[in-house]
Amino acid sequence: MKWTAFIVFLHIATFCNAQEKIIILEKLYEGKIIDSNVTSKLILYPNYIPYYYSFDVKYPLSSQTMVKNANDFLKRKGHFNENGYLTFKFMIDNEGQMNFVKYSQINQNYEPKVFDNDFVKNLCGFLKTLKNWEKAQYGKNKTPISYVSYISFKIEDGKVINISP
Amino acid sequence: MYHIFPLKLKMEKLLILVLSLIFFPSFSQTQVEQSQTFDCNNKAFRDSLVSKYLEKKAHQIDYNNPKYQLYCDSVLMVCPNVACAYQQKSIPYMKSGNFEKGMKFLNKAVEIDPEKYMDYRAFMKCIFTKDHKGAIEDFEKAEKINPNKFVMDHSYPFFKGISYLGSGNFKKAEIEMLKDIELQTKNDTSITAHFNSYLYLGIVYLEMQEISKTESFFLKSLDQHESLPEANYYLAICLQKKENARAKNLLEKAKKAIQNGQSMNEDNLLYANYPYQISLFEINQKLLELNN
Repeated sequence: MKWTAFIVFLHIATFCNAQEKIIILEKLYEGKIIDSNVTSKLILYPNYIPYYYSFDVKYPLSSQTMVKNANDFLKRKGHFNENGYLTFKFMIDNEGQMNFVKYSQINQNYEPKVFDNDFVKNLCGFLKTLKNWEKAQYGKNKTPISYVSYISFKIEDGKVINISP
Repeated sequence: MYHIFPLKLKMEKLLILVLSLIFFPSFSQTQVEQSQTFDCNNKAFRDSLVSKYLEKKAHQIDYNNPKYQLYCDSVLMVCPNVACAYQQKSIPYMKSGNFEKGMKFLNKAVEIDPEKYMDYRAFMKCIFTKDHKGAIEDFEKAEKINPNKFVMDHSYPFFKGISYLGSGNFKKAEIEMLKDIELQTKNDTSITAHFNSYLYLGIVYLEMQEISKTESFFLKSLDQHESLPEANYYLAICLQKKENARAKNLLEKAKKAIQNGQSMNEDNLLYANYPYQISLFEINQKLLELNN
């Protein structure tokens, strides 16, 4: 019964053009826009924000491997003396593509700070190398669904020392 | 269709107004004066607010429904000293990676009720924000408040141990992991500790290159959860040089377990990876390495 109600609810999805999607996405989750690209496979749902955890879909790599890959990528971009958390939030569309990336930045005490712009771009560059996002599905028919996900990089002395989630 | 969001916000403002009018004789009174109207120092009164707005309302809807925050705010408008309303407000933020807002509300909960929320914040720092130093500091404060208490199914030394492990202090990680096992077994050999306690102690010894100790703890972990992917994977790493075939077999077991959806069985795995948690990628890489 709960699933039926949920599926009916989801079926009132918003099919709209890119500009209309951007207007909705600007308000949907917090952060500064770094990539406003949206695809036709991104479906939005009025009154419902599906998060990665509702479908058990984190990026299919361990945190240790992601940390190593991020640092290998950053090594080629020069050294930055940065500390804190740089968090990217985005939507994964029905085909597993990343859409509409925003970022937020805080220091180690969870207070707002501003990272070097080039460092942000470099880390976003690494984020874009992640191409194997899980496709979320729901219900018996395994209907595809777009969802919000995030990756937060914990930075110490310009290096990624950990990744959430 | 696109007016749904603004319309919803208007509805929320209206709800705040309605709740306020019910509770407050004059809308122009300050929050402090309003609090004095009600006995916010009375636990029964505070509990009635929690029951009315959190248990019967907020807990019945999705965390990300804007009304969820509104119900928490309704409690705080009446009594700004209800710690659990702040903790509940923090949950959706922490789970969606907004650590700035999440920690702001969680800090407020700890400030009001450190006895109840210090260990929870420590856990969130350990597993969600990977702030090992902050987690250890909070667990040390929590130990002074509530010695030998557990949070999220584990002892404080368990999380301190994985925080030390995450920060590369293996000696301290070993001490804490041993304490965790002692707290569970009370040195009675007939009692077994949690399989993840043995798993992480095994990982600590693996990092310390104490291979003989490592194996026994991974085996103890597998005694309780024979398909635990991490125990099979890290045991395979221990055995890869001397028992290649057995190592490959363990990796195959780990692979099958992950494909079947088996895991470390921790409640918060949906929201955040645990330290040293593995994925199919690492298993396949190791299998490839052993097959060459």
